[in-house]
Amino acid sequence: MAGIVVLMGIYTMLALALNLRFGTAGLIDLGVVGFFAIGAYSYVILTAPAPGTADAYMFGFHLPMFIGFVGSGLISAFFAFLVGLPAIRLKGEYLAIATYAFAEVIQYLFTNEKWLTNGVKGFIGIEQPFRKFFVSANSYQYFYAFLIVLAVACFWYILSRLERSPFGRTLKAIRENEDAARAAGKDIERFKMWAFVIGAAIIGFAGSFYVWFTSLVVPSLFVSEVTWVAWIALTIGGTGNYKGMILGAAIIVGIQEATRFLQASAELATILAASRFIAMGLILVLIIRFKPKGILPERNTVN
Amino acid sequence: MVLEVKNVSKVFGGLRAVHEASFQVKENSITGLIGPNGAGKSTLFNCIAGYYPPSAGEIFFKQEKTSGFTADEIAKRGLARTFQTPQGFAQMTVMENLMVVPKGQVGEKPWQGLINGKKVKEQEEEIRKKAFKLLADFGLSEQKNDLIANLSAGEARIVEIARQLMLDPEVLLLDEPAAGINPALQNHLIQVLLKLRQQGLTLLIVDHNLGFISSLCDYIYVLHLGQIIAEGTPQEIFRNPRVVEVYLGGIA
Repeated sequence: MAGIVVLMGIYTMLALALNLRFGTAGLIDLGVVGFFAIGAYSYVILTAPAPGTADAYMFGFHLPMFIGFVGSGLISAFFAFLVGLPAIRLKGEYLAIATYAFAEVIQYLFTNEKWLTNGVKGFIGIEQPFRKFFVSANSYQYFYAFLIVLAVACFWYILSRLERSPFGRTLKAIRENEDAARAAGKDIERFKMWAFVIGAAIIGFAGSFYVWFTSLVVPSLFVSEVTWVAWIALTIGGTGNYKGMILGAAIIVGIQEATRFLQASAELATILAASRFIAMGLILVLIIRFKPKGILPERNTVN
Repeated sequence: MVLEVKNVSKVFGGLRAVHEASFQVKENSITGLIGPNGAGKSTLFNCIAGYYPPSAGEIFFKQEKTSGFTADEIAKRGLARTFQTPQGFAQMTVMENLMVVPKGQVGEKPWQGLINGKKVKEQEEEIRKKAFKLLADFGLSEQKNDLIANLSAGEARIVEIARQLMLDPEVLLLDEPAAGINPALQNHLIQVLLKLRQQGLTLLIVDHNLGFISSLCDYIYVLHLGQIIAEGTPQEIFRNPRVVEVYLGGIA
């Protein structure tokens, strides 16, 4: 149960970041998992002990957890800035293609550059925050779920404040009409870049939280499915509505875990695993058909 | 001269849309730029506003060379434009549309919204007051909470002008402001524009509608096939045989 809360929390973080990028700023970003992977690997490389003889990686800085955590957000944000330099000017689907390609490249890089990432072996046995205060793994799970809820609340607070600030208002204006925003004297590339970078920072932090949850990092965790799931959570919950994002993440994680728990025979398990995607797809289609703005749509503010 | 256009040309591929056009706009004047469809008015207009870089020539705004600047830099310097079909932030309210515009909002820096809430709030209050006053001046107070997407074409046009005035511009560029709005609202618009001039604004109006423009402008330039072919007061323009020929067709 605690695990489900954690996963929900992590997908909510991704949906929150995506909402800033897409919901507020209108950037179609299919590179979520790329920044997620950068965040996760940044944390691990910053905090990992020096490599042992069987390890292929060269850098393990063994820094305190806190620095690793801050680093995961900052490094992810920095990479977003680098990607944004050429890509942020791209319109609509072109940005989607560029960011998707970026995420794919990141996954290949992390698989193949063994000196940095230890290849497919990855990193295992990653320490968890405040673990030493808990006797059993079970009681720690509940604490960690609580920690995740706290972090989601934090991100929620920061992002909803940003969205209601003049910064958020200008982003929305750019989303609505770029030409008019330019005529209003707005440097639209700069605003988009901010949205892109802040989103990446939050996705990077989510990477750290994910690493603590799985306690291992391998490249195969960071497939494009993560991006799609974040998008589906945002879309079915309601783009622009914070409660909707949590609801969306809950539904998606609920479907994933329900099919996992139902496993009976090996044969049935395969079918159920595949049916997960069918169920998600079906829900997405139904929502788009009957509630195109999501279960809880965005509300317009009134002055 | 608050705005000077010097030998500006604009070429799209093989098409010469504007060819060595030069004209000036005097402070606090209402200057017209007219010409039949396809004369290059909108292209020239977009060059001035920074939407297209001119292929050749220079544009000066307040003695500063602005050709080559981006549209937002030009807007921030006080040269505000409107669009031929009114453009707005559709899924935002009229009030929000106006409040987006002002320059130098501290809250536009993402971290300021988080750490400097008080200052941001104060500034928001000022901006809100200013927007409210503009809407009241234009008789749009009741629509302040309407979405732009739900306004009539005429209302959208006036809101667009009000929105651009939030820039505190010195020159307002209007691209066919009378297009697509009914005669009653056109009269309202003329009153609005004359009042703006009284308040010290300079207006440059692009139109192909001679009637509308001659009732407003002090001075008119006529553009034909990308070149300025005549200039003068409205009376002089009406008597100019070249203009008559261009507009009514030559004597066969």
